[in-house]
Amino acid sequence: MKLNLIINEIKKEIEISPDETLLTVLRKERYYGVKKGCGRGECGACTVIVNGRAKKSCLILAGQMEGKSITTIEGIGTADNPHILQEAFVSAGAVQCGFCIPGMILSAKALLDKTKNPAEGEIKSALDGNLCRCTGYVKQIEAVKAAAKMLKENNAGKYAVKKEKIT
Amino acid sequence: MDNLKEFHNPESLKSALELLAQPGEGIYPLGGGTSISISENKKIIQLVNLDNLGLNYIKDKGGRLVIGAMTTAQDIIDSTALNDISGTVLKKCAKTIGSQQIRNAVTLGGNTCGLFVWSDMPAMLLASNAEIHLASKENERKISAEQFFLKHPAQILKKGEICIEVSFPKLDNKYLGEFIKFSRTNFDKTIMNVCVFFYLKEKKIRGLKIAVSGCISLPRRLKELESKLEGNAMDEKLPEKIIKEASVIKENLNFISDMKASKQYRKKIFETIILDAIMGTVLFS
Repeated sequence: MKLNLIINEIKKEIEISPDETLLTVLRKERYYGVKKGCGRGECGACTVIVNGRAKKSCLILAGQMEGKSITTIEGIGTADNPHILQEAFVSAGAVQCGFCIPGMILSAKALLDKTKNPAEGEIKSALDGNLCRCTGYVKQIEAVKAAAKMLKENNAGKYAVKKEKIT
Repeated sequence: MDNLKEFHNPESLKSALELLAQPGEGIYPLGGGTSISISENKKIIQLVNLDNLGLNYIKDKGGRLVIGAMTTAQDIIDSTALNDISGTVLKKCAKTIGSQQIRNAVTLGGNTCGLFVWSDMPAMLLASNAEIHLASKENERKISAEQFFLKHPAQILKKGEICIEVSFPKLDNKYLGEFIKFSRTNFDKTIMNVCVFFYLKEKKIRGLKIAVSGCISLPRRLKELESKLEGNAMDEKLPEKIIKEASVIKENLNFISDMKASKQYRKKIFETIILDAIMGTVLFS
């Protein structure tokens, strides 16, 4: 079946099987920043933003995404022009192996898009579906707080969105 | 879902009901999708996505709160319409569901009709005397939560029938309410859910409703316990009375065992969680 959706602000028409999850389809489309951890909705490594809300792509059938707008980690910043959240995570020392980080950053982005100055409890609640085996979460919570402050200070933040098609 | 062949995205309730009414087996409705997406059910051949039918709403309809079946747990948490005690308790219930990403996907209809042992909302719907609004191509009907949860929904729902909304009465300010989900971690599946509503008149418990789920196979009102505690004074003797009466009633319940906890453990904690729920209304209100 054909699926029409928007990925990182680019309109796409993708051929999918009805039983494929969004995670499978995104990785087939080479959005490798969307990670398969548990594949059962427990770890959050596969988190993407769907119409403004963080969701686990392993728990979404791709067919549900007809007409929807998806943001993956590739869509919020680049190595040369990282999103403030990405900068904050690096600066805070919140990254060790890095596997959980794309999902965690997207959960944080969904929060900060909705709540400019979240309390610590709100940050913990927003990240409660993202497991990390390395860090113990302290630095990640600090990173989100720092990013919130930086975004507020910079007004709109700085980030680059890849406009060109992925080939 | 090795046998899933077709995925439908209807844009009207009428279209969806017509698809679901097709002859043959294997045609299933799709709500949030958090359970079906990892299902190994080989009976699923067609899925009918309910996301575009306009069933995501929360309305205050003169004394009743009406919630569309595709309203997510997060929508419930964010709602300003759910501002009486029953709405507040439903919000508290919704906040206990899974993790943030799960709350953004789980729907009231799916939680009600999927009725997995770990579904959290049914206990609240039972305790609040909710009404489940069902629709099929042929007709619509309303059924009380009490009737709906007597059996598994697969035995209640007719072919092609889906939940389109749930409603429950608004409670006035005199009521107290509480929802407790007892689980191993913040977003783990439940070991036991309890929901209570009551009010105090001359410091005595009146209008008591207690419902449990997650520890037994189907959600259940504890009417035997309600009748034992109705009219009791909210005083220093009440906790002991709750423990005593709940300990007796639990002997008639069939507790379940699963990965989260054994039936022995669930039986052991039963009266304590009920005590916490009833006393929590007063201590934390």
